[in-house]
Amino acid sequence: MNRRFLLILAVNLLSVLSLFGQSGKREVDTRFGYGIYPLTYDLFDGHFLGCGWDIDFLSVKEGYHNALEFSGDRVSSGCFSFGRYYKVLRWMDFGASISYAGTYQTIYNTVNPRITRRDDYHSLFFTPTIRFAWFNREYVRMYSSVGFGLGVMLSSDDAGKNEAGPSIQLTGFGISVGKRLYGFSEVQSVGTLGLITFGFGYRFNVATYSKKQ
Amino acid sequence: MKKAIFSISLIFCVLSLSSCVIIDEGDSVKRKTEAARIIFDNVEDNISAMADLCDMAVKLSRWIDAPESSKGTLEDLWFPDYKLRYEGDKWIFRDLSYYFRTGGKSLDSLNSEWAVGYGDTQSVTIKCTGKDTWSVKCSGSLFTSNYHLSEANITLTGRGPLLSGSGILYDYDVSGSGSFITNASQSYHYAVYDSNPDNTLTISYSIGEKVRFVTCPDSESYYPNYDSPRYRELRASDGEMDIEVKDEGTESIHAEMISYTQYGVVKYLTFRGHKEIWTY
Repeated sequence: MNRRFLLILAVNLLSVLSLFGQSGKREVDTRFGYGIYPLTYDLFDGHFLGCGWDIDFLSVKEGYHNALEFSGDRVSSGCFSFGRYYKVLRWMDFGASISYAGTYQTIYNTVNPRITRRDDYHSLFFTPTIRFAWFNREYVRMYSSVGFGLGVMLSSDDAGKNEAGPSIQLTGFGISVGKRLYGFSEVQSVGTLGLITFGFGYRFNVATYSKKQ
Repeated sequence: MKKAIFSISLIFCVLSLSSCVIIDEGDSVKRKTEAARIIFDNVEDNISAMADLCDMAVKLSRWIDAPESSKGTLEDLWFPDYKLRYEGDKWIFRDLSYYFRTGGKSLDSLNSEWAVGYGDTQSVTIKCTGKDTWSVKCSGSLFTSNYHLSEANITLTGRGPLLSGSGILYDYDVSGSGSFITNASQSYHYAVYDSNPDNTLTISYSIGEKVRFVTCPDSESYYPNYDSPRYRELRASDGEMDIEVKDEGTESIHAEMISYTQYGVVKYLTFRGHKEIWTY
């Protein structure tokens, strides 16, 4: 699994880097986005989906320790992302995004609720992405995209819970409205950027580097 | 254009930063002595299991001593779910995993001693120490509920039962002390003993005067064709005991049982300076 996703990531990065060897003008798309319900590694650690797989009862010690504390709501910050994309073909963009997603929870001491500790997770993802624009007009574009990259999750409570792994974002339907300054939204999505994302961006053209013959 | 970008950025930040979503609701606030309740329940189960063994042994002894004409009635009354078998030198109850070695003596004879065995081990002894009084000793026993590794030296004295009903012989006044190492696993599917020291607690208890254990119906054991519960359990209803829990540190719990009511046993649990009433 590790070798495979490293290979896919390498292919992605090489494709992105190959843009710099070509001449002419290229459209560059820079965007800031916000996603709701991003998939992060802590979702599978018993907070959301994990509990259903654990069919054993707690041991006496686990039950005792659980009774000494109780938790507040776990809140997700959503996913803040910054992305940069280069138009390679009229219908294809290459690029990558850097994103942050956090989940936060306060744990209270049962005997003295004024004593608290934090159980926060901070996730950072780097996701190279290929975007396929299947509807291309001057002011409206519709697209789908596939992203695959790397991520890391840091725990505020226990360094043993830190994790690294893949970052995946699949978007079924995305739409951007605007010529240079535009707003966008993506739905039918699943991945580390969120189930639904929205944001704004700016497009501009850059002259690309070319070798003198 | 710059103004537009600035305005959009501001609106975007306000919308996104105020959009935090609750992805998992937190726990409801727990009672301050919730942890003590968990430990107390395990201590009660531990003592209750030994009292239940003693109760079964006394009934078996009286059934053996009973005239032949009464044996059938007593068997239906005291052992409705088991068939008694005498194999070699031991009495077994069909469908129960343990057996009794009587040494040919009645448990009502002073100083007579029975051994309770499980497989090849015999780690519980029941000895008559007086009229309707027995001592129960165990060492390295897994007999008790939830497969905790138990040590105990307790004395039980039979008393007239609080609740009437077929199958109830005595309530028991219990005194003495014991300890157990909790099972590191609590498997739902089957009972196994896991001694992983990273996930066990050492719990010890001490009863200075006496705690009365009442034979009461197990409300979760009704069968469709019966009007009364099929199984009975022994529960601490009256008296005080001290409990110590060894974890990273040592915690003390004081339990004071007041009475058995239709809603359950009323008790006070004191833990880390907080005393709370529990009824269940």
